[in-house]
Amino acid sequence: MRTEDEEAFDAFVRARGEYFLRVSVLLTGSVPEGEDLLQSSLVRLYRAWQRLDVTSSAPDAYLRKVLVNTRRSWWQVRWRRESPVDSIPDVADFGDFTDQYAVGAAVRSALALLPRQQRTVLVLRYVEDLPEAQVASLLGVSAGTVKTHAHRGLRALRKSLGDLAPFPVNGAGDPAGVER
Amino acid sequence: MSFSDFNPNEEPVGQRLLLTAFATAPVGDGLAGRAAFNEDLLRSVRRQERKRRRVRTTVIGATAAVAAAVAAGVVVLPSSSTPSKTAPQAATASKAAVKAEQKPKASGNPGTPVTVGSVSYSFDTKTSDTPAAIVLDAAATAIGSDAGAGSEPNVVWGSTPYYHMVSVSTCGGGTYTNNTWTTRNGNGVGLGTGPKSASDPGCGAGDGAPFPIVTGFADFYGLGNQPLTEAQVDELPTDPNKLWPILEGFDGRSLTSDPANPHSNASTMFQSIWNLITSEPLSPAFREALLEDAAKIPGVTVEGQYTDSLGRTGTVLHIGMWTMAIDTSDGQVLAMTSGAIPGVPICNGSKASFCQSGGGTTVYVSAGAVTSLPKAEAAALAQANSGAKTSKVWVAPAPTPSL
Repeated sequence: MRTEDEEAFDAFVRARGEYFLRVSVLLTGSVPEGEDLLQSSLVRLYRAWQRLDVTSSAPDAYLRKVLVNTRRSWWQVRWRRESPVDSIPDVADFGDFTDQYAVGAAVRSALALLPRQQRTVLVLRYVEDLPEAQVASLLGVSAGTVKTHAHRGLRALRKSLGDLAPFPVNGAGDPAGVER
Repeated sequence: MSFSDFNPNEEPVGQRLLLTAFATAPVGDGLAGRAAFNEDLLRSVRRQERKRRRVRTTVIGATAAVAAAVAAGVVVLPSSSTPSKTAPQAATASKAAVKAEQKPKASGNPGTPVTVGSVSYSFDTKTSDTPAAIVLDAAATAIGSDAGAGSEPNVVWGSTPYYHMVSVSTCGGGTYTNNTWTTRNGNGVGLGTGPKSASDPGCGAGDGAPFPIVTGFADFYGLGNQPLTEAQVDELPTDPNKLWPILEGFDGRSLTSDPANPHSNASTMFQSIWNLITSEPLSPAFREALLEDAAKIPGVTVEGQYTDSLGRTGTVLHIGMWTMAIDTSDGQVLAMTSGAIPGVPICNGSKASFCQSGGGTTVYVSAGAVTSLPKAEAAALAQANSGAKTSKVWVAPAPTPSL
């Protein structure tokens, strides 16, 4: 790879590494797996780097596609030991929902319990804020399927969290404060 | 306002909660910690690339050496152009080659028995220098798929709707016994016993009650990185010479060897073959083709012998983060592990946390089609089946003339 391409790749990772790590953590349900997923996906991005128009949003789009595909293939091979659990793992003191970190942890735990496709759709649609058509294209499904997964995913999240304890969500997260 | 009553305006509230989950994910300690993580990522990416380039050079040299040995008649290597219905004497020759080639390594490790429920097993690394291709060709030949070849689909459900798998596994420090009943769309019922793991929330929590397994989509099966529906699996050829270019073409990426990468395309393809074989009832002809093509995947090494308390022995094969045991006398897959085995450098030194902690082992105790389910399992299955979807993303190539 040419020196300027190497520098552009480094700049991309420094600028977008944390963002995509957070996405990976939500896709996989845990920080260690999110780190592994991002590392593997960045290796593939690196190999494709020279083919991409790095002045556009192509690296973001390519990395997003690799993340989703790699996650899907990992999930397929690990599904037998991912036994669904009937309750949310203990991750936080649920009595302190005024703390947005506790809310975040509870939501991540609830998200991790959803079927893989629903979880992926929720992350792409609401966290990455992609249009339904783009999510559909990424996953190779129809826009209607995306809509259904999003609806069912939100409903399941609500049920999971609602079963635990009501808690305030006002001010719990500020989209404008999220690095995009 | 509580989460439980955020309807009817659920999307904005749901999005806000998800963004909170995103923003508060524990990804490093402060700005400095996250910056250091980015630098670690960059170093890791370049280290894997350097190793890949070195390995490619080495593999080219090694391939030439094997070709020369074959030409000199040093090893009996069944030709890749051998028809899939190999004659019995060729099987004998292959097995003889496996036996003759197994030489103790000087620094082998004896297997440490692991007991899970009523089963104990061990992997040792005392043998061998046998090329993995010979082991896999022998296993493929042993399946002996002459009977019924060409007259049955690749996935043989017949009149039996459920595929029942019994396995024991280790995961996140715990041990588990598992029953799964899978149906045609990949959904199924699980029944497991074992404690919930503190270190890996994905492990266990089996309390002996059946739970639904929902894949959420019908293209649940797959080879390499390519998801496939069962109908698509059925469209794959049973001639390994026709199947191989299709496997190579999945996802448009090559299957070149890359031992430095635990998730290389070759490693993923190799593992996915075992996963497919153990996921549904495949015809003998299709299993044979898959094993013959697995023999063509570069970078697989033979690491030793597997034994278990069920009286089974197998040959241990390794690539990337995966290690498998296969019985070359009948082609049965015995066990698969992503955990560390003494003497086998899992992930080849990668610092990925998965490689550091090691994964789990699954021992396949039995598998077979069954015609009915107990009542509780049937109810759980009905729940699982309410969510199946299809997304056709791969189209079988047009048939090519026979070679």
